[in-house]
Amino acid sequence: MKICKITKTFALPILFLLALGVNVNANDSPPIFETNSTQGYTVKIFSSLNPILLNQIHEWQLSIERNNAPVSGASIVLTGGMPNHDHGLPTQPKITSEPAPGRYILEGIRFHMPGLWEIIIDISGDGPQDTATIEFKL
Amino acid sequence: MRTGLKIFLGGFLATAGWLAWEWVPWQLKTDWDEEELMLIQSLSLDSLEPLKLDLSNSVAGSLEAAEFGHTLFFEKRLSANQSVSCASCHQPDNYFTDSLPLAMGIGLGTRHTPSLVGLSYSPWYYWDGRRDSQWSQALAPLEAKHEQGMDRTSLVNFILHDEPHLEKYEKVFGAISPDLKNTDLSNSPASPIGNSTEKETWQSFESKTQIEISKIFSNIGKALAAYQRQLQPGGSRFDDYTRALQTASLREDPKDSILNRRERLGLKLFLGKGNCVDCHNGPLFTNHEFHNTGVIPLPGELPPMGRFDGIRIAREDPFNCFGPYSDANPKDCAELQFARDTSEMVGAHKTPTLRNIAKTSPYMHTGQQKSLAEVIEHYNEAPTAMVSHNEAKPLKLRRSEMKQLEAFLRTLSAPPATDSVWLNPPN
Ligand code: HEC
Ligand code: HEC
Repeated sequence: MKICKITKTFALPILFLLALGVNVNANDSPPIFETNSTQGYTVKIFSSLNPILLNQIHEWQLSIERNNAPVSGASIVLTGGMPNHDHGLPTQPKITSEPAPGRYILEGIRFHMPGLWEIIIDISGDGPQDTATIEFKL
Repeated sequence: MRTGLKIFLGGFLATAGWLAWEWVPWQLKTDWDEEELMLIQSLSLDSLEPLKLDLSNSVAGSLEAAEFGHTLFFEKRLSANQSVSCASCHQPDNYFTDSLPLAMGIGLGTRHTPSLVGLSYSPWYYWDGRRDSQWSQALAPLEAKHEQGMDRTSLVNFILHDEPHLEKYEKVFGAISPDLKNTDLSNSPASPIGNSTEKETWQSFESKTQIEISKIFSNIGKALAAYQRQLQPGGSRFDDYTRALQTASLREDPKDSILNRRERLGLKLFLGKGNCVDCHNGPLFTNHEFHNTGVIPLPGELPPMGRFDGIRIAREDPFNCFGPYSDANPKDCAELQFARDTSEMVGAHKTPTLRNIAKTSPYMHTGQQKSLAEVIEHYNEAPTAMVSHNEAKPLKLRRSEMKQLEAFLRTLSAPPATDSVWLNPPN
């Protein structure tokens, strides 16, 4: 249990929000990350593992909105890595379903090093193609 | 004369300066900041979560399966020449390693034998991660010609005709079908991965027989995995220190603590300048991931592809999490389903645990580094990898710092926290 302490609360730029959600399914719990893209997408991330622990594979739920409306049927690709070490994520997480409009399940995410991580979410669909970024420290 | 003296003095001062730079332990303070304290606690055995069940192995948590696996682990009759068992290479007295650079079974192997203590936490097995469970891993050495060199049919035949083994097997996995018991499998070595005669014989079996043999074979692996789950690491001096640190008064450079100054300075380097904790993290000092650390291949050998090939083999293994012999629901196979297989994995090997590292020399996937000093020298230089790129960067540690790092690594040894029954051959 104590590993969670090294997920030192994310000290990064405040424009990337942080929070204390509890459960990926509890839609009313606050997201663990939230970010806005230049084209006006709001991406909220809920994690099945909160706080995020090192070396444990888990699931995220992404909520994507634009102009206060859910963005459904989009193609979402999530990549990432550690900007200070030239490597990416240890796994290849994928969106596996969209259980509700604008709500996407991402499976197979895991982090394997303490330090600064960057997550890039590529959104393409009916609206403009755009990229949202999240940075956090583990 | 004068110039001679000057040169002498200059040379003397330069040498003295260099020696002092390299050898004097300049950094003397070992008090910890909050970030270091958190990292230290994250490495403590107290942070080790209870071992999760392996959903692909329904007997993973069964004591009876572990007992059966215990006898199999030490059983030399499970080898073609009746003289090699798992324990021949994974020796309990050596933290389940063999002190050799390359393993020696029926023949000479191509890899160094890793420790099995605390290994059950890993989602991947082998240096290149070509197996995705401990039970599917256990099947490979039984049939590998240079290891135990059996074939699965003779192995199943042995279980069927050895009363004590059959009894243990049926207690855990239920009765073997009378059909198979009445089939004469003696003197018919057969396996889908054997030599050409073995393959031919295998092809001559009805598919029902093939499946039944492979099922019993896979259960042997599941019992061996259940046994290995008993092999858990014990608390070392480092763990005692992490506990002591929880008492605030000990945090600031205690004069007389469980770790001496040199070891504490080594710990500081491990967390900081050495970047070791990037990969050797968590209470088992491994992230269970694959990295290219520029380890030089043995002379005359091509650099191995490592995980790049390993993940491809794991995906094709009929005994993997998705396969017909797995007890998992496909949705429980996330590690296999979402594993990275891109070119970053070229030359990448699994990060080994550093627990008991002082006791498990030599080091690296082909045992090419003989001592901890040599390993630290390797990281200090971070040579360019022969395939893909070395993720570790040169550290520029001084001699004194390299000694400190080594002293710290030596604090991680402790006998396994396992009832001695499991560490000895069953009677
Ligand atoms: C001839 C020596 C030898 C024998 C016999 C042997 N092993 Fe191994 N074992 C090795 C070597 C060498 C490796 C590493 C091979 C590789 O990664 O390619 C290994 C790897 C493993 C691993 C994976 C370790 C890791 O870090 O991922 C496990 C688990 C294991 N062996 C268990 C067993 C079991 C169970 C048996 C008996 C069925 C067995 N071994 C028999 C030498 C041996
Ligand atoms: C980029 C990840 C990474 C970093 C950083 C790293 N290691 Fe390793 N370490 C590995 C991998 C991967 C191996 C196995 C390499 C191989 O066999 O090819 C390994 C092997 C070792 C071994 C040999 C283990 C064995 O059982 O054979 C030791 C000892 C070791 N590392 C210590 C350290 C120390 C000390 C540091 C810091 C100076 C460090 N490592 C930094 C990934 C890393």
